[in-house]
Amino acid sequence: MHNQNQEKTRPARELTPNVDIFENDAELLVVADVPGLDPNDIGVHVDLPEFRIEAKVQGSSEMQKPVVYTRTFRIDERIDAERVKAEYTNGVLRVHLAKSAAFRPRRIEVQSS
Amino acid sequence: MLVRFSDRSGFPTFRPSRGLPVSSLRRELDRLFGDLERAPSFAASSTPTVTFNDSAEALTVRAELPGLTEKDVDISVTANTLTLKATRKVEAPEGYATHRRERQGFSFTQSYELPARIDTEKVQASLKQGVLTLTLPKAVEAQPKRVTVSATA
Repeated sequence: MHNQNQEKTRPARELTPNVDIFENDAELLVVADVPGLDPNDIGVHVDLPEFRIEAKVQGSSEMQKPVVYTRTFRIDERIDAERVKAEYTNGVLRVHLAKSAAFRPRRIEVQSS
Repeated sequence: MLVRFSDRSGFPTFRPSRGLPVSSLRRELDRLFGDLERAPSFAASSTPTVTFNDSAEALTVRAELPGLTEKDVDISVTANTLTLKATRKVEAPEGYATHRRERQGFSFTQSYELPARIDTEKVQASLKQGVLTLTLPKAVEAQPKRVTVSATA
């Protein structure tokens, strides 16, 4: 668990990215603004009920100082940790957290006899 | 006036941005108080972070524009000004219920007076993963010249 009181050994700036969270019958969708990253430097960790986004910008120049984006949520919905998908386009991260099949609403047909 | 700070998205947070400490602090304070004046609607639009850097040969500008593509950005330059326009629309995906809404759309227009004359023909711009990078090469006369001190016997 990420502890706010711990000191950092590296002087990277820590940012809290802005996040939108949406839900439908099938999934929870988390959208985060994390511009300028290499997709390999983005970590999406699902350790239920904790869900964490962590991304690092390796400071390479005067313009781009090292930055760490982190955001941690506690997920109350029933999520299938095996079926989490993430995509990164135009500096926006989208994480699809699929709900466990057993907790998705299922429509029951009423049989007429 | 009653202002209730209920959730994170509504509360005007102090977000130090990159750039010159004094000007960015001032900008943040302006934003903070601007947000308070607009309360309680809290319909504050977020402004992109723009950073300038000045090297001997060129000025470089970096703007964070997550979610934007080339068509959402409009850049124009003169010998000593830069105008940036960027529009971001944030829409909830169809068929989803919204739980949390922090990402904001904006319509951003800002002109900057440049600290050196630039060669407008050689300006380069690229937008990669939501980061706009502009390289504004300085005009030859604005570049530093090394002056050699000649020793007289």
